Amino acid sequence: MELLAQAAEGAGGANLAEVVLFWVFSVLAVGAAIAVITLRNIVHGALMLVLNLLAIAGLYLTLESSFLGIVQVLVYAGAIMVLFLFVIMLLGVDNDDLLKETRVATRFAAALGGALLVAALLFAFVGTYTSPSSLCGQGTGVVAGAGEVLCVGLAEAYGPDDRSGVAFLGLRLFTRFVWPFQLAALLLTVATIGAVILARRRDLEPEDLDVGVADPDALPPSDAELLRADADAPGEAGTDVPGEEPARLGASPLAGSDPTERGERPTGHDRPSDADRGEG
Amino acid sequence: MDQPLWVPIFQTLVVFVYFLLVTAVLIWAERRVVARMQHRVGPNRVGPFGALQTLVDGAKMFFKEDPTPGMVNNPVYTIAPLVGVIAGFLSIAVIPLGFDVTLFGETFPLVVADLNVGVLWILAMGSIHVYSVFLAGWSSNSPYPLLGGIRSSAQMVSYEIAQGLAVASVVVYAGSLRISDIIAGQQTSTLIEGMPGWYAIPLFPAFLVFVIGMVAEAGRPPFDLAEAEGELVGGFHTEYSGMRFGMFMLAEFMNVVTMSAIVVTLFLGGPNGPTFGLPDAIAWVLPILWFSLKMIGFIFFFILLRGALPRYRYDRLMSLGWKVLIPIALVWVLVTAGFVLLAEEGIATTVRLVLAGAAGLLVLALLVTAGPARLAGASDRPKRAPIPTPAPDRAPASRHVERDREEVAP
Repeated sequence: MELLAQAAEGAGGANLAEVVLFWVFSVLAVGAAIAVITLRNIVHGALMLVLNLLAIAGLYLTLESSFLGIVQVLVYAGAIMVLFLFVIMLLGVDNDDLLKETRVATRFAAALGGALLVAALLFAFVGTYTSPSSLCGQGTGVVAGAGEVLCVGLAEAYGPDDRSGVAFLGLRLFTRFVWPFQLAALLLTVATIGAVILARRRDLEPEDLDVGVADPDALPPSDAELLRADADAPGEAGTDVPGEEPARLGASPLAGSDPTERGERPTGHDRPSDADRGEG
Repeated sequence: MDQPLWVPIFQTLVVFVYFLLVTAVLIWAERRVVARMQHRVGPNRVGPFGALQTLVDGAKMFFKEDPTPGMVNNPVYTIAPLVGVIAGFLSIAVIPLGFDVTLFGETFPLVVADLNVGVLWILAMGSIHVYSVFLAGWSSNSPYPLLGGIRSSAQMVSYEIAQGLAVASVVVYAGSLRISDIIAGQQTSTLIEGMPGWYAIPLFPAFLVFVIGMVAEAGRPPFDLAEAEGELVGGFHTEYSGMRFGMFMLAEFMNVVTMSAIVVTLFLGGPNGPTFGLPDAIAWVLPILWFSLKMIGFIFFFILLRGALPRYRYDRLMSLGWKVLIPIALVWVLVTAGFVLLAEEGIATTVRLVLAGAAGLLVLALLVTAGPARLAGASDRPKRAPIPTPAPDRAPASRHVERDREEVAP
C-alpha cells in the first residue's frame, strides 16, 4: 500500500484513475492465473492465460510503459499463445492427460518446485523493492544494485527525443543488460534446435505411399496429417454418446468438461453437426 | 488536454462512422465490380445501382434465426466473432484520417488516439484478430471449421512476421513508432526535391512484402485458404449463421479497409497531398480526400485480386511467406538500418544512395534467383510424400492409417 501511495505521489498527486486501473488489472491477472490451473478444459485454461497476459499488459500501461505493454500483447498474447493453442489443437489432448496427477513423488516435486519459485521471487523482490529505503522521491539518491543512483521521472530518464522509451530500452538492452540478453537468446536457440530435432520425422519410402490420398503432393504435411484425424471425425462428431467424443480431433471443445455439463446438452439434436451441414 | 468532453467523442464517432461507411460501400462495390468482371450485373434492385444492398443484407442477418449447434463449446463459440470485430475496430484507432481540424473554436486532429507506439498497436490488434478465426474453428467442434481455423492461424502468424519486418523498416527509416511522425516524415522527399517522400519508394521491397502480406493477413482471395469453399465448405465459420456469421463477414471486410488504410498511412503518405494554396477554412478537407482516394485505390486492388486470381495452394502460400517474403523483408530492414546509420555518421547523400542502390540490386538478385527457385522447388520437383509415419507406439489414429498398414503388410 505504501508503494502504491508512493507511485501515485510520483505521478504528480494521487491519481485516482491509476489506482482504480491498478486494482482492476491486478484482480483480473490473479483471477485469470488461478483459472489457468483450475479449469479442466485445457483450451479454456490457455485462453485464461491470454487474459492474464493482457491484464499484465494493462498493468504496464498504467505504469506508463506503453512500449512494454503493447509488446506484451503483440508477443505473448498475439504470437506465443497462438502457437500454444495451435499445438494444443493440432496434437489434441487425450482425456487421460486431464486426470489428476496421483503419484506422490510427482506431487511432492511439484510442490517443492512451486515453493522454490516463490522463495526465489520473494528473495529477489522483498527488501529490494518493498522496504522504505527503496522508496525514492523525485531527485533524491537511493542505493540500488551497483551503487547510488539518482531517482528521476520516467520522462527524464527517457530523454527529450524518446517519448515511448524505445531508445532507452534498446540502449539499456545492448549495453548494461547485454549479457542476460545474449543468454536468453542462447536459451531460445537451444530450445529451437531441440524442438526441430524432436519434431523431425522420417519420411516414408516411396513404396510405402498412402494411396488413400490421390495426390499426396497436392497436400501440405499439416493437411495430410489433419486428413487422418478428419477421416474419423464426421461419424463421431455427430454421435451423442459421451464415451465417444471426438477426442482425437484435436482437443475437443468438450474434453475436460464435467459429465453433468455434457448431460445437459439438448437431446433434441441427435446429430447436430449433420443437421447444420444440411442447412448450410 | 483541457479539451471539452465532446472533442474525443466527436473524434471517435467520426473515425468509427467513416470506416463503417467505407466498409458498407466496399461490400456493395465488391459485388458490383466482381460481377462486371464476370459479365454479370450484380445487385441492382435496392437503391441507385443497388447501393443499399448492404443495408438490406444487414437487416436480413439481424432478423435471421441464429441457432447454436448442440456440440459447440459455448462461451468460446459466442465470443469468437466478437473478438474479430472488436480487434478490427480497435486497430483503426491510431490511423489519422486527416490533419488538424478546427470546429467550434477547438482544434484537434482527426484520429482517435495518436499513441507513442501506434505502429505496434496496429500489429498487436492484428495478432489478436487471429484468435477470432482460430477459436471459431475450434469451438465449433466440427472437422471443417477446425481445419479452417488451424490453416488460418498458421497463415496469419506466418505473414504477421513478414508484415512486422516490413513495418520495422518503416520504423527504422522514420525513427519513430508514432503514426503522426511517420506521416510527417513523408511530407517532402529528402532525395528528390518537390516530390512527396512516400516511404514506398525508398522502402519498395518492404512495401511489396507488406502489400502481399496484408492480403494474406486479411484472409482475402487469392489467400483465403481459411474459408476455401471448394474444400472446407465454409472454413472456420461453417457452423455460424445469422448475425454471428455477419460479424465474421464484417470483420473480414473491415480488415480489407483497415489494411488499406494502414498501407496508405505507412507507405503512401497517409493524408499528405497538395493543398493548392487554398484558405485554411477549406484546406482541411483536402487531406481527408487524399487519404480516402489512396485508400479506395487499395480497396479496389483487393477487389480486383478477388476477381482475377484463383486461390493459392496452401503449401505454396506458406513457402511464399517463409522462404521469400520474410528473407526479403529481413534484408531490407538491415539495408534501411545501414542507410540510416550512414546518415547519422554524416555520409553524403549520393554515397548513401549508391550504397542503398547496391543493396537494392543485391536483394533483387536474391529475389530473382533464390526466391522463385525455392518456390518452384516447393511445388514442381517430384517430392516424397509428406505424410508422416505414425508413431510406432501409438494406436492408428484413423482409418486412413489402418488401410495404409494393411496395404503395406502383404
